Amino acid sequence: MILPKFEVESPLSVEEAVRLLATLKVAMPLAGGTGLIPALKLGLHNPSVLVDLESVEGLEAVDCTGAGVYMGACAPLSVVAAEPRIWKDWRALAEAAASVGGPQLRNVGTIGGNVCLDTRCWFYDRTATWRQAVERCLKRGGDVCLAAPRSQRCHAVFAADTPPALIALRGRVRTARWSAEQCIRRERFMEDLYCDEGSRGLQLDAGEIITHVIVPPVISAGEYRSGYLKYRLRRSIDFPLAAVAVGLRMADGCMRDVRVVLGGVASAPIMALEAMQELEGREPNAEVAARAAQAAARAARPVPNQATTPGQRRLMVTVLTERLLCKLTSDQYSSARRDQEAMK
Amino acid sequence: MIGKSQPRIDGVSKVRGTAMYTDDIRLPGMLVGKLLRSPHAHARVLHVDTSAAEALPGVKAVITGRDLPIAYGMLPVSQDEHALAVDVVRHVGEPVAAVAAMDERIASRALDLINVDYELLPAILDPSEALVRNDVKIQDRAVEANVERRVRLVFGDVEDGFRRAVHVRKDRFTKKGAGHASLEPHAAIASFTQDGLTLWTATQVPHYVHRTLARVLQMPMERIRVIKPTLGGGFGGKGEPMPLELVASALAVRCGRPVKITYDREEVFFTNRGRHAYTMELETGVTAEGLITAVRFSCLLDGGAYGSFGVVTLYYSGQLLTLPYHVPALEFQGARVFTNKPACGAQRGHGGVAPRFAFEVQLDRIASDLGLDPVEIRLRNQVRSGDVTINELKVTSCGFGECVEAAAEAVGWSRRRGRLPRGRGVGLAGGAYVSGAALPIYFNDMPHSNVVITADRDGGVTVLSGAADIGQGSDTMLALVAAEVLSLPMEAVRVVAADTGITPVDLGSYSSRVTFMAGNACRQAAEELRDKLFAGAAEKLGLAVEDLELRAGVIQKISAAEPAMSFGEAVAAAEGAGVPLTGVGGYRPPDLAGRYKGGGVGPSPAYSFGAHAAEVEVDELTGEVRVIRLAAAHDLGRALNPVAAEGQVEGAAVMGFGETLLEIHEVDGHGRLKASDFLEYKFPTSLDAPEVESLLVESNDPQGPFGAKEVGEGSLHPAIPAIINAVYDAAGVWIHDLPLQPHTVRAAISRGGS
Repeated sequence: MILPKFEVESPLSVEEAVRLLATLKVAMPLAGGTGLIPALKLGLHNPSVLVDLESVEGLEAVDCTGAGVYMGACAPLSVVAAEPRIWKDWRALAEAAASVGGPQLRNVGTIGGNVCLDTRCWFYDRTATWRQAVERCLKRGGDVCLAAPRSQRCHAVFAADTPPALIALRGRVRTARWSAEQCIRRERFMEDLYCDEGSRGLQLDAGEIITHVIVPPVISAGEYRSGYLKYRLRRSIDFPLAAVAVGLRMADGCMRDVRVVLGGVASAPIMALEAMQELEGREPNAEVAARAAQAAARAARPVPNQATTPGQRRLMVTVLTERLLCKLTSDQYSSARRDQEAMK
Repeated sequence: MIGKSQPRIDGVSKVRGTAMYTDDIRLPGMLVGKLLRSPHAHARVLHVDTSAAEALPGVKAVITGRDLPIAYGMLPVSQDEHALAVDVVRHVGEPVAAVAAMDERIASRALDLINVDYELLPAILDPSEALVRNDVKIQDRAVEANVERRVRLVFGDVEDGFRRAVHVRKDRFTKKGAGHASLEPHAAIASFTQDGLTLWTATQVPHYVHRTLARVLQMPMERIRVIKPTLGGGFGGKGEPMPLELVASALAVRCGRPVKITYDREEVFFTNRGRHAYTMELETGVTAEGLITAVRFSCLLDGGAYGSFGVVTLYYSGQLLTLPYHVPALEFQGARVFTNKPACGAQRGHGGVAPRFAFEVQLDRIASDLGLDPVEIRLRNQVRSGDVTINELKVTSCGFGECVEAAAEAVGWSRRRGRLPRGRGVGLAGGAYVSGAALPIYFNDMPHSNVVITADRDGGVTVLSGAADIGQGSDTMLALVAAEVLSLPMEAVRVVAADTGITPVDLGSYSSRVTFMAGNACRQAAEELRDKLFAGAAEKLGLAVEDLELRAGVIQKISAAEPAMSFGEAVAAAEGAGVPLTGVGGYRPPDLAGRYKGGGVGPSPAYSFGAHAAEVEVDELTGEVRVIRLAAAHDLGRALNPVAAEGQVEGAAVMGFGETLLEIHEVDGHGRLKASDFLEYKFPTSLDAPEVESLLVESNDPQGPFGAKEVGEGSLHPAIPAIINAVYDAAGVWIHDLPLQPHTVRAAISRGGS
């Protein structure tokens, strides 16, 4: 496997980067490349130019000195995963970033790159020799999903770790694109970036890039809790086969502003609404957690295009959700009961 | 020096990145070769149009199966492969044509321009279908359906054995295929000049590559030189001649320029030669005391499209069942079938791994049925030094009982087995393996290993050996043996190995033969050199040979305070005889073949023994199994270099761990590899591997060099059943299908035990 030939542009500013992406033919942004470069070796894309965002001034910074976290798209995952304030206040993000690939991948891979990671599938991420032996799937412009042949849509799986955590934390992205000879910037909610259709890609305009990833300040410090758990066969390196991120606030012994977001079990991060409804406003206890976990699993839509079985992946959504809720709120179980007893 | 840990002699160059692996070699004018591979599992090749590829600027040659029409194969009975497919492709990924071009990009583009007309044929992917389908023939030489070979061996009175048994168990087991996953992919570089053909190749068997090149290229052997550079892992995957070696050579001859071919990871998976998938049925009878009375074993091996080592794999599957327990009667029936998949072959622990898993798990079930302790039933049935098994394997040394006790002790067996909290458990299993095969792969009378040692007047020696260091450390072993005999520091021994143009023949690195055989040859060569050295020194000093001793690089009168002369001076004195000072050694195993058909596979000059104890944690909710540790006791005869031996034990144990929980080499319903990269082929990284504690047991084999036996492969066998048996202790379920996967564990738990 060899890399196809391409040029690399190294812009110094966001403006220059988006202008290059808009004006050069078949240009793709590069932010780390741990996902893109292997895909190029497989011949899945054939860009003539890669616009390397890492040369852009200031995109590597992680700033959590003010309110919230403000991360340049090219901040290495290892830097995000090493930031004590993120561990303290936005633990789901720290846990997710620390669970991506292995140490080398986290040193090269970036938060922006992880947010933009392409969906993955056994039938798509393959060499040219292998792909020759199969018909074209939906993601390659054909008209069948090889993982779920009776389905009408592409089921390539969303396998990035940080987006479910970022969505649970109500993250936003700042984007930039070149239009009418100027750089247009806007802000989007993370949850609006994705679409549960494996071949669609990010909901961004052509040539639009993510420049920053932002996590808002915690609603009430100390009472805000979040976490991320991930299932994979090898704890050292693999993509998630199922993952769950939870963010919630404890107020008067009840869970508020609960978010439960699943990764690795559909073509997008999935907001487990039914599970969130089970939890919202309730006092945490094992029974509530178990009910929410069951509800979360109902939101998962795994198909046989990753290791292990869809059934195992769905089960792991239940198990991880329940364990994560227990981890985040079990200290309240007894106190809630204590309060109840006191009221009696 | 023997018995003290020595750093490997190539360690520093490997760590610093200066060691030259095959792909590191670049020759002036070198071209890049690439293979075009079949997208079909089974098809007739009607026509290969190479004209457009040949016309591409930068392309120097294009060849097809017609250019290399002579068949070859590892075993004399299975000469069924071609470097490039002739007329028929039999699995997805089989090479069909090859190009040599100025660079890899041009070569890749040229492959796209080759047009192959295929006529699709029905593919057989299920081995049980291969057993019965006569309408599709994957190999013409299969007489019955697609059966390559059927074997039936009966030893002792099996019927009587089962009659005597008070308890009989019959169980079915399966194991999926697995791959070697060497970090270095196959690579070869060929150069053809007026001096002949030179091939540098990542191989475990330079001698067989040499022979095969001569046969396929129709070139005299003396015109061919095969060199094995530093090698990054073999495990059996580089244990036979490979298409790239023949193709690079043919292209180099055609172009008159050096040609290099390096496989990518997917091509390594297409090449396979890994562990066969097994379906097994095992029936064992025991007395009330748990003594084995008879064993009946049958197995079906999914061979893939070619013979490879398969017939040997098949025989080993039955033959190794008579160790390490006393089996008074054995009936073995097996078949290896062809399917339209990449061929299976030899992989670390060759032939014994899947049957050992079945046997050891069943033995635990029998112990459980009878209320016996698994350790106790193993000790009651153990073979001992001096035993001859029912299939005529002669046990020269045996530390099996000691291995069982050491492994059990390490996990606190008597205190903890059956007494740990639910979800936690310990398990134990045994195993045994050959220290090389007593018979060569092709019949001949010559020694299996040969060593020449030359002495230099500067005080050093050079060891010349054909043995292939594949990362296991055989070069270091040779240096150590020579240094020990000649009382020299390791630095004074140079090793030149695995170069057919310079070094004497060694059959190669397979069946765990190198320490035993090349080690013995090296010892003999060093002793001969030492004798000559003493003779020369004695004459010069006017002393009798018996009065001299060799210590730390000097020769002196026995117990004298002052050295008489240095090693270098002694070399010069010995050369006074008028010829250079050399020693030669050869190792040929004694005649051990069983007196029955198939009696050539199994006999070895010595057997290693081992027992592992595993401690696991089972998450009954998710089915996940975590192996906390493996205590791996291994009777290796004698640890020549303990740190190297421990490395081998650990490596084999971790490989067994991977096959138990993660690794699957298989194809989908169209014959396409399910996993063809290291992201989807899940083998354990160092972070996934359990803690392994190597416990070296020394039984001092009378025939081994300084008492040594094999240590490279045997430690794989017990790892797998030890883990499975521990899962029973932890969760109360018996797993009969490998690899153990979380959903299968859950299914077993919900079925409630069996």
